[in-house]
Amino acid sequence: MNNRMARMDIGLFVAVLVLLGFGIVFVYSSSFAVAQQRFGGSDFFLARQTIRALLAIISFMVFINVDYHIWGRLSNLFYVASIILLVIVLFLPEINGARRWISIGQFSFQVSDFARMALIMVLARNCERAGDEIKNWNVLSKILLKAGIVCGLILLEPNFSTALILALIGLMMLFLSGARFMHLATLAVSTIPVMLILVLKTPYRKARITGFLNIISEQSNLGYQAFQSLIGLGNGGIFGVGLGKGEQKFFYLPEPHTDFMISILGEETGFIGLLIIISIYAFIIFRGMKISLNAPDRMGQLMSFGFTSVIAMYLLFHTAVGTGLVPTTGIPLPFLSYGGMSLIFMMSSVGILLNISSQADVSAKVLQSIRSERLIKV
Amino acid sequence: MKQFRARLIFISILFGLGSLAIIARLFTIQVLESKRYVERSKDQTQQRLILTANRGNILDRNSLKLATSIETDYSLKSQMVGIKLSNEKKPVKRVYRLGEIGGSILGYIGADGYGLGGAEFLFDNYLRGEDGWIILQKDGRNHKYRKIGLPVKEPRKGYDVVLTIDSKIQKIVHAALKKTVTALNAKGGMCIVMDPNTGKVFAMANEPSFDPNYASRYPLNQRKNKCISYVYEPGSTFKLVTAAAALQEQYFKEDDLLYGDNGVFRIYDQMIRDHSPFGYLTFSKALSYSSNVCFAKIASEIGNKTMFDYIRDFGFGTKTGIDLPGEEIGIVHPVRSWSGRTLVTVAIGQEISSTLLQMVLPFAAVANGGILINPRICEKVIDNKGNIVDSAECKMVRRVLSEQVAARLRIMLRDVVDNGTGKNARIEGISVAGKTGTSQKPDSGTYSKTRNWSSFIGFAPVENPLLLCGVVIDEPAGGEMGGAVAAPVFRDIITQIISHPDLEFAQKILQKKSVPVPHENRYQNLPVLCGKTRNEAKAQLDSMDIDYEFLGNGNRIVFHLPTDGYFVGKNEKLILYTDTQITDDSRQTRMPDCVGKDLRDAINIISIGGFKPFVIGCGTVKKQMPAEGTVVRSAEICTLYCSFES
Repeated sequence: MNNRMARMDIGLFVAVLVLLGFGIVFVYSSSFAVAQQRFGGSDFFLARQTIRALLAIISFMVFINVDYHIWGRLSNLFYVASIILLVIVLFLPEINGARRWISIGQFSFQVSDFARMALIMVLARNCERAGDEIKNWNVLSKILLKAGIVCGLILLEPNFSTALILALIGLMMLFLSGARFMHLATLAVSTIPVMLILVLKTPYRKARITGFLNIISEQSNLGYQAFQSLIGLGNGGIFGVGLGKGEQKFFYLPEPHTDFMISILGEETGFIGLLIIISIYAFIIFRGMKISLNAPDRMGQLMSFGFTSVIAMYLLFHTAVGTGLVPTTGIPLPFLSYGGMSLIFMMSSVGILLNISSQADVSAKVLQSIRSERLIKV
Repeated sequence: MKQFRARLIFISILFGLGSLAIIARLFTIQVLESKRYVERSKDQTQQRLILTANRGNILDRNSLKLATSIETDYSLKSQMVGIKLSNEKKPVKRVYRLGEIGGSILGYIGADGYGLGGAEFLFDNYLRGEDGWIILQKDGRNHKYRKIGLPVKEPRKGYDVVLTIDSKIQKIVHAALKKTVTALNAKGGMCIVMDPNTGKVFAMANEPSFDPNYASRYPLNQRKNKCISYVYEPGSTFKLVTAAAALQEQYFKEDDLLYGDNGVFRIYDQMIRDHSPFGYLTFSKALSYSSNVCFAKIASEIGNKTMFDYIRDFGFGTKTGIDLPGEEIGIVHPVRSWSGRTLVTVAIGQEISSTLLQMVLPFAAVANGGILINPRICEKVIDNKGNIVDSAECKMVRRVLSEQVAARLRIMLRDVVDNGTGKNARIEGISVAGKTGTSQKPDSGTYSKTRNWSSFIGFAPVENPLLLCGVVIDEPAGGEMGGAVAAPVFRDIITQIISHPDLEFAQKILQKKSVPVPHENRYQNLPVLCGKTRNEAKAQLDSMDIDYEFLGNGNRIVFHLPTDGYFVGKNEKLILYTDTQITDDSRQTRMPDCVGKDLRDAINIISIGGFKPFVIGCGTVKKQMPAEGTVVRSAEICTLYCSFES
């Protein structure tokens, strides 16, 4: 265990821990008013976030010590399990107009969080298996179908944004593993009319788009949330109003501790604070890409890219929503937003990522020898 | 592997560009456009709340609360940060404890908290105070909170206004007026009670009145203070002004004789009539019996110019300057527009109109020694710590009569009550002066026979006037005369005031009268004085400590008042009449016999004989001086002593 910890990318780990720490502080700052109102205690979310963060670190500890190749072997199992769960969730009662959650006793989790991990694992494994055959449309289409089923089921929940993010991550993984650009581009273009129909046929999505287009006029009720987010950011200015002193969390923003965390951060720590936080993410993503580049095998490369791109995509989507660049949708900020199981899933994937890094973070020779050793062993 | 590296870098660059776009966007929002959002944030998170100042109280002269506000307590000090502010804005609730009693003085406030009538209106600036404000923190649910650091300006409570009104007197006046108006089925009534020396109004009542607690339920007209805004023809009460002008300008003396033309006086096409026909009356009795004919003649002597000057000097046609809103000035026609008969009609209180307040002021001037005073209702204005912010001074407008003339008018007005039309105003144990008035209401060009204003204005005690009271009853049933209708109200009110144990007047009147003495020492039996010389009488009376005064220029006492066998009070004056010495016998006449004759006939006989009668008492003549058959110079005064039955 100490071995792994010693060889992993310590910098990335520290960066993640820093974000987790920030998360606990800002979850409290952003949630105490909402917690007071909903649960009668201002520290409701703080207490839970702290416990989840500790659980997440424990699960990180577990995952960093498990050879990531096991996940490759188990990936089909996970995939099937996630399909079953995604189907089950469709028959559960709605929560806030969607069926996304499965509750077991006290614990509840978003099935898509689990499906996301399973999909990344199964894509990494299948692409490695396919090798150069991925350039063959028949091979590619089978893999695409696997991704399509997961995205389609998530879309049915409905959870458009998560489905979109997973689809994009899947396409990037296939692109990285050598699929023909034309194949993927054709596919992407052909989905555009489907997406348009999906958006225009669903009133709430249409409303969000309309609201998004009306942010500038500031009048629309539909753009209210996004505009409140902008007020929070703008009110923070360069240096912010100070920790805990923001106004927007007092019921101006709907979910300040999850979906609009960036607005709270921007209001209380200002442009400078956000620059620092984005820099930390950039550092994590950069390191994640480096791990991917240096991973011992194709599956490790793809898996580490998948988990890194999840962080990057969530960051981009969350900040784009918060700054009014894309229509409002509920994407949390990784490590910082309040989240129950999703934080644990996220830290687990960091565990896998760092397990990959621990296997690559040696010189090429050592890497080579380890690989040959293992090959011999196998 | 090479391809993977290239594609990974490509994707990384895409991520990098995405991040840069986000950063650029953040820079725009947080740095370039920040100001706009800061303002928007302030707009939506801060709200300025006006803290309405509690309105000051209106107090009576004994600091009894007449009008108070239910305190809207924001309890700013006890409010803690983050606790919801529950009572944001309460409408001002004003409570008038006395209800309709005194409603017209106090006025009322509108829904916006501004005073709309009476003292509430006039002293609004003092009463209203200064509103404060507070900046409240507002959350997204529109809940408001106090927050430390946000500015607050606490409201300043309005000042208290202390009036000269006395609730007890106001209650007495209100009840007495209401009783009479109801009993007589009258249209309405007005009454003012004031201090004739200082102009402080103790009470001011209107009937029908209104309850300022529910002001909006009453018609606008009923909310007015009629004592200062209702214009009526004062009628005979106005004769005081005429009499004052005649005395002050020395056209007449009290005992100058006037002929009553048996009740009808013709001027142009109009008849001036008396309520009962009079023959000869002295100037004083003309007032006592309220002879229109005699006053028409008096006015003719005075003339337009002088009459108008006195009307103007007594304050008619201008505001009295009382500190209440809505005062009317009445109608006084300028001299140039007077017709031939205006002078005589004005003299008896027609063709002129005034408010009751204007009409009581000449009486106040007579009562206080000749000064027209500025009536007022505000005693002082005090701030929340009890400091006096503003106080009203006793202000004199001008001297209208000399002290002596005022004193003579007091005696004349006293006779009105003692012997004349105002008998119903007599009060046991106190001397009262006053004048009745019955003025027909104008009715399509002429005067109504049935509808009138019956009034009485008077003051007491005559020696040291403390209370002045004017009463007007509007359209008493059956067209009753002022003496019958209004004088009893006056008596009722003054009696209650001077016998009220909590008011200072009983005490004051008693102090002024005398130090109370044992009953046996209080009155003295008179010695026999008739036939004695001046010096003998002087010696005797001085020894008995009786105040006395001689009338006549002779040396021998022929008669005295009170007469033999009567008592004389400790502070009363014994009047000794002497025989008359004839000094000039160039034109001598024999004195006719008047004893046993009716006073009116006696005056006739004496006048025809070329003498001036001086009447003491009324009724049948018992004695005359000089005696019948005495050879005297013509134009000599003949004193007629009458029985005191009227």
